[in-house]
Amino acid sequence: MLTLTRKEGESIVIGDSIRVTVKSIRGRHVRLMVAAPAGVAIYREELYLAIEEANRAAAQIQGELPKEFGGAVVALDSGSAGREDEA
Amino acid sequence: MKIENTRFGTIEVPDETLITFPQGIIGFHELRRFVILDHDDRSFIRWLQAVDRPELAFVIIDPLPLVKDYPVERILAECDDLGLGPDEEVAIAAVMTLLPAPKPPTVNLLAPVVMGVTARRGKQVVLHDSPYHTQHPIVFSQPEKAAGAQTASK
Repeated sequence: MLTLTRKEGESIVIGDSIRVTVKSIRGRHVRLMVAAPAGVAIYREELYLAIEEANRAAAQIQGELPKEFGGAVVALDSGSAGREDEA
Repeated sequence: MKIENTRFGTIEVPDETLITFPQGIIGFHELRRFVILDHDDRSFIRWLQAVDRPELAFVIIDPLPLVKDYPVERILAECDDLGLGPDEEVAIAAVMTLLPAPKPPTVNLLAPVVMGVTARRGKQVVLHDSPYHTQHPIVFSQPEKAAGAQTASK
């Protein structure tokens, strides 16, 4: 574990191919630019944790699957098609 | 190749059905080898089974019939690292979470699983800043009910 202090415009290099740059600091918000090769995924931590939790929950299949799966027509519940206004 | 599965027991599948996930899936980075198993010959669901962990299988479903304008182009653009061919057929699958009754099953539309059918490689893609999240409830209807008044019942 390494703790570094950087100013706006300064960077950190990780390994041979990942670079994190502090683009700007405004109040409590730090804008970071991350350069990494294709195949190295970059996530906001809370998003990563939400997906990790969803995968773990999905893997916890207990008991029998609902009988209604057999031959059923399925659709999203109409209240859950996503918020079209936020893209 | 023999696949151990806590639900179906030991299954024999052709070696060439193996799908490699070079980065595993999120939260399970060590799981690199998967196969897809049918649930039965009627269901729209299938199983993404981890070859190396018999107890780890994910129920998956094709999200495209469910979602208007699911961002397929964007999903494909996130797959450069899989080294897929230019005209390769790609399968997109959403992971389903089954909750205790009476909660409905939900699908994860934020992070679909993508697989190149010829290359036999896959990954989980995250649709950052999209309207989707990990638990969209789904509803079922049986086909004969959906046909409604069109079906003469005698």
